[in-house]
Amino acid sequence: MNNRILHAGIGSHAIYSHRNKEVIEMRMTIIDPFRNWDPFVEMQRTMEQFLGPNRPAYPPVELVDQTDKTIIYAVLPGIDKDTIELTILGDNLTIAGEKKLPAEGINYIRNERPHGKFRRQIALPYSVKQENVSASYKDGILTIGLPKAEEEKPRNITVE
Amino acid sequence: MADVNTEKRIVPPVDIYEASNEVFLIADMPGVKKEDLYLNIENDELTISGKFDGPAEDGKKLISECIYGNYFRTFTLSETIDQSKVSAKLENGVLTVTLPKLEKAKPKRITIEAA
Repeated sequence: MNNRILHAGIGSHAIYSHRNKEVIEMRMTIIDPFRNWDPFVEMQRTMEQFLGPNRPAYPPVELVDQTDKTIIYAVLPGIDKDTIELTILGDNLTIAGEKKLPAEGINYIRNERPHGKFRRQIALPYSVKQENVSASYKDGILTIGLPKAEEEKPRNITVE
Repeated sequence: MADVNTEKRIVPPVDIYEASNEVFLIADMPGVKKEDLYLNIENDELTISGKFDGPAEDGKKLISECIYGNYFRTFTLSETIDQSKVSAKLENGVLTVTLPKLEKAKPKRITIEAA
């Protein structure tokens, strides 16, 4: 959802909440630029101008750190598992793929599910033993197990 | 921190489109297992709900962006839907509900007879 539209909505909300004769009056009041001025919204708007639309990264992930491995869960419903591309380069893991529309060339009554190509790079907190990386896809959740390289594992040092 | 997101109500995003003989409703419900999914039609309303507890793993969460909780959404069915023939399928976290139209609502081609 575009945040710009949301912000526009904050100012004009009064119009929609009053479905009576007061509508015209309300319309007049929102012309006052400081009436509904919210410093937080203003700050967000300024941030947006610098950083572009505030779009969350896709897919959303969970990264769980365990003693000997790191597990990443990516929420990716409805993807053909053979089209998911996983790449590890250095300390970065890239998840890429495409989520297709259920049908092309038709009119949707609702079209809310995200679709299109995606690519996300995740900085791994540890070096990974690349040959032992595993991945599975179930119920729309992609689970990636990343065993830590030997030198990253915690070690007990015995005091002599 | 970990408990903030639990038991949250999630509105699953849907695609709805119409074919000549049926209406398709597709909902993203990642993490829901077949046994945790409920579909119900009552008073011309279709309710879909399901539970996603999140991965049960011990460890420290370094990134936590996923929302766990109960999916819930209700749709009003039009009178052209044959409620007795509704079917559903859950695959890779995506629910597809097929809503067949009643015979009278299906498009019919009318043949023109030669005079």
